Amino acid sequence: MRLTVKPVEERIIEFAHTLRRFNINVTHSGIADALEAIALVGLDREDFFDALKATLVKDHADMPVFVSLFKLFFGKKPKGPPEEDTGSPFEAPPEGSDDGREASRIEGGNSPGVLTEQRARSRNQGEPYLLLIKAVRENDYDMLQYLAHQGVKNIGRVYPQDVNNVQALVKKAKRSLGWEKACDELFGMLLNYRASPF
Amino acid sequence: MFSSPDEVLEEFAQVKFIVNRSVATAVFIAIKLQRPLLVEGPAGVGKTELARVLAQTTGSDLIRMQCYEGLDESKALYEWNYQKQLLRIYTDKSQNKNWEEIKHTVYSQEFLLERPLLKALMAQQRTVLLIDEVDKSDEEFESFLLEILSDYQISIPELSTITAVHPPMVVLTSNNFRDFGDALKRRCIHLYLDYPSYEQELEILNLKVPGIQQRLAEKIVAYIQAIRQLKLKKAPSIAETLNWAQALLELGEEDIDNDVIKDTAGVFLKYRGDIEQVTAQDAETLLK
Repeated sequence: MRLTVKPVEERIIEFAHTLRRFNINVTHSGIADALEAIALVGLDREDFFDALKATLVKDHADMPVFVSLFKLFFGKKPKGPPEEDTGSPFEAPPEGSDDGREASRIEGGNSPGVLTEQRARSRNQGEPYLLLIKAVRENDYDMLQYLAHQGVKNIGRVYPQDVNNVQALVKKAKRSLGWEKACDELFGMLLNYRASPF
Repeated sequence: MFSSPDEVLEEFAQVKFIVNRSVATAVFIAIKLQRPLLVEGPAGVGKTELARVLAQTTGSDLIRMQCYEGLDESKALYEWNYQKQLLRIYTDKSQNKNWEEIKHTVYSQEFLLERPLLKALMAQQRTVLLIDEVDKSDEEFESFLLEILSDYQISIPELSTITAVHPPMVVLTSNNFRDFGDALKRRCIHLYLDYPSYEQELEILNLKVPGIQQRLAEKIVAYIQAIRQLKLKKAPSIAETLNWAQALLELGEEDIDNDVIKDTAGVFLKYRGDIEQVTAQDAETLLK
């Protein structure tokens, strides 16, 4: 839905600028390459992801942040060719059951593979809720504001009658960021902190 | 040439080079945008092989330049053949030619020793230029490389400016030995080549070591994948998986157990510390 609201080029540029905000060194030529690459490979989700990765990320260490932000920006896309295996990566995962399968699919390339420990770890890294936790723990107000902004964007189009239903919209925005999961984890950390003798 | 990432995938598979689609997409983009492809990743995942396969599947010549500390322009680009020039000067002198004439002849292509970079720029047909282990060269060389890779031309002061008729497909590989310059990275399409997944490695094994029993192949790959997760000095590469499989096949082993591993660990591990660490662990536990 979001991809039709704005031309995809604008969305990519916005995405690239956001990568910069997260200290990923994205250059003008990188953005130009990204746009050209997308024109070549199209919007098929996997290719789209690979093309942006190859042109915008020049340092493998930046991948976790890239995956998180990619998910925030392009995570849910309503239409796309069906995939043969476990559920289409294009469709929004059923709300509330967002278990990060999507991120790991992208990261692991085209093979479902055996879930090794390394994979299990990297699949967690691709989650927006981790950005949320990081922001809270580091008192990063800028990032919080940014995430809130993204959350609101993830609501999609808002209609006048939605004014009666603001609570539901807020819930939707929170869910898109993995709010509850972040709260759970933060709460868990807090409990552990209390329990520790220090 | 390739018209889609799928085609890259198919062509590569035909020469028994198995990669995932991400890799094919990056290769495809680099070719179409005429950008150098920078391949990073652990040792032994097939970075160099990728360039070789690319040359093979596109019907191009492969020109390889191995980088090392101290590599300079005269070794990478060109050098004048001084001995030959001197000989020419002596000969010409004896025929009473004047210096202006001589100067003109000794600085011609005949006296030029072409090194890999110049060879790639002057090639009369498509080439793949492999700049191997670029992270081992030094910074001056890197900026010099950047200059060439931005416009695929080079000026030889005594001769002329040479512009590539067929800009080579450039593949750079790096083992992250040194974190090299942003400017060079910026020019490139980036590809991180990782160890293959279980399925992929099994496919590679079946392709390269035909005649291996499926059950043994599965166990080999599962075991190798498991020990790659350990903190080893040098994790086993794909080639080492294949060597090990070949060795087990020759030895007539049908299963992997602690004894077999103790006897053959030297095939896939290269450091004593690594071997000790791995053989200290129970194979069955690792396989779980």
